[in-house]
Amino acid sequence: MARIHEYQGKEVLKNCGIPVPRGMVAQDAEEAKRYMEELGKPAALKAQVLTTGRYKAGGIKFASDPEEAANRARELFDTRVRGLQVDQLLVEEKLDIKSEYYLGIIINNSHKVKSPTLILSSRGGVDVEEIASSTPEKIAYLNVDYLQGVGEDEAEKILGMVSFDEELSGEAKEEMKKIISSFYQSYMESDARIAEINPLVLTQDGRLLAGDCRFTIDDNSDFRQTRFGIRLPRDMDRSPTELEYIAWTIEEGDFRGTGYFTQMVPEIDKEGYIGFHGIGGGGAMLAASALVNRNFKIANYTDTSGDPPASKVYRVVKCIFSQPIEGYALMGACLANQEQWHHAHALVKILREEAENRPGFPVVLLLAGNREKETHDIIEKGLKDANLRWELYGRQYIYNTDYIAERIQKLVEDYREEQRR
Amino acid sequence: MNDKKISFETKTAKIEINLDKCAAARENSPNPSCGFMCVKACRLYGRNVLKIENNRPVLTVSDPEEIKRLDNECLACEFNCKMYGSDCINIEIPLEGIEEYRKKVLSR
Repeated sequence: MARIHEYQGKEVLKNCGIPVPRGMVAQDAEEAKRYMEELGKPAALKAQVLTTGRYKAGGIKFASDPEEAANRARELFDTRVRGLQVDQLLVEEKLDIKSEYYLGIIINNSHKVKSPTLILSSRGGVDVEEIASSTPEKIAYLNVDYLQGVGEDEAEKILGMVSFDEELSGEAKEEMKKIISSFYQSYMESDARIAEINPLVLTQDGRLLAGDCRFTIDDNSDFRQTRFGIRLPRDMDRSPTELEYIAWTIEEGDFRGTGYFTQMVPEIDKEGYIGFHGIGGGGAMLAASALVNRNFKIANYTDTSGDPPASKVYRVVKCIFSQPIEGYALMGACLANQEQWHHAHALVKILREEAENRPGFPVVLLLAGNREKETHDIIEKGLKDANLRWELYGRQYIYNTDYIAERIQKLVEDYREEQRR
Repeated sequence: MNDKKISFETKTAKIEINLDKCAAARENSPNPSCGFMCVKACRLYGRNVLKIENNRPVLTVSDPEEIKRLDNECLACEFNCKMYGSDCINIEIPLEGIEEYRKKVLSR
C-alpha cells in the first residue's frame, strides 16, 4: 500500500464531484505568494509530506495576505516536518468552519465481512478510534455490497444511523448523500484500500467541502494508477527516505525472495542506533525488543526471507551499513524454506568489505536453520581474519534474545571505548 | 572474453575470473593446489555455470542470456577461490546511488 499526497487525493475527490477548497501546489515561496494573490482571501499553507499530525508538527500555517504567505512558506520550506523535507505546499483557501465530520472507507478483513466498510461520524478532525470509544453514538459503520456499491439509499441509511449535535438542514443532507456516494466512487476509481475525508467541513455559509483527505492505494494497482507517480509502493506514515528509494531498487522487479529494508527514523542524529536484520518475524521481533530494553534504538528493519540469492542479501546488508550505526545484529532463526549458506556467503563478502572502513565494528550474528553447520563453517572461515568484533550464534540461542542483546551491548561498549582512545 | 579472463554478467551482478592469477590455469594440472574449488562450489551452491576444461574453469554455457537465466548469484565461487585458491574471482554487485549516499551520510 502507498499513501498519496493530500493534493493528489483532493484531485481524485474533485474528479468525482466532491467539492474541495480552492488551492494550488507551490514549489517555492514566490509561487505561494502568487497563488495567495490569485486566491484573494486568507489561506492555509499545508506541507505536502506523508505524515500524520501535520498541524501539531508545525506543517500547517495560515496567512492573511500574500506577503505573509511568502514568509510562512519560507519557514515551511526551511524546516523539517517530523524529520521530512518539505518540497511542496498546498496553498488553499482558509475555510470558515461551522462543523466538522468524518467520512471514511476501509477494507474490513473480518471473515464475516470481507468487504469495504463505510464509516461516517458527526465528529471530525480527530482520530476515528477516539470517537468510537468516547462517543459511539456519533459514529456509524455500513458494510458495502461490492456488486451494489454505494448509492443514495446506502448514503441515506448511514446518515440515519448517526446522531448529529445540530440537525443538518435538508439541503446539507442532500449534499451529504451525494458526497457519500461520490466518495465511494473515488475510492473504487483510485484502487484505494483506505480513504478518508477528515474533516468533511460544513462552512458558515452552508457549503460542504473536503477539508483534508487521506488515500492509501493498493500497491498491486500502481501499474494502472500511474497518475500518482508512486515510486515506492509501501504503506508508510511518511515519505520514503533517499536510502529507502535506493533499497527499493533491490526488490523492484526481482522476485527471488525478500529484500525488505525500511528505516525506523528518517535521519539518525544521535548515538545508540543498531542496524537490525531479521529473517522471519517472531524471533526477530523479540530481539528488537531486547535491544530496545537495553536502550538501543533500531535504525532500520530488514527482512531477507523467502530464500533470496546471496547477491540480494549482500545489497540489503550494504544498505544497513550505509547508516551511521554503532552495531549490526542479525537475527536469522530457524527458517525451513531456505538454505542459510547463501546468507553466509553474502555476509562474509559484505562484512569483510565493511571491516576495511570500520575496524573493530560490533557484529552479532544469529543464524540458525537449514544447513546451519555448513553456514557457520563458511562464516567462521570467512571472517577469521576480519578486523571486526564479531560473534556467531546458532539454534541453541534462538530463544535467548536478551543474551544476544547483552552481547551487542558489550561489544558496542568496547567499540565506543576504543573510539574514545 | 579472452584467454586471460572470463567475464560474464548474471541477472544483477558481474563476475570476472582472472586466469593470469588462477592457480589451476597457471599450474595446468588435473589436480591443482586449489582443488578446483570454484567449480565444486558452483556445483554445490550454484547452478553448474562453471566446469573444468583443459585444467581450468570455463563456462558451461556460452549464450549470455542463458547464463543470466541460469546463474543464482550465490557468490560461492568468489568465496571459495579466496579461501582455498588464488583469489582470482571478483564479483561486482552494483547498487545505484549507494556510494554517493554513503559519502554524504557517513562522512558527517
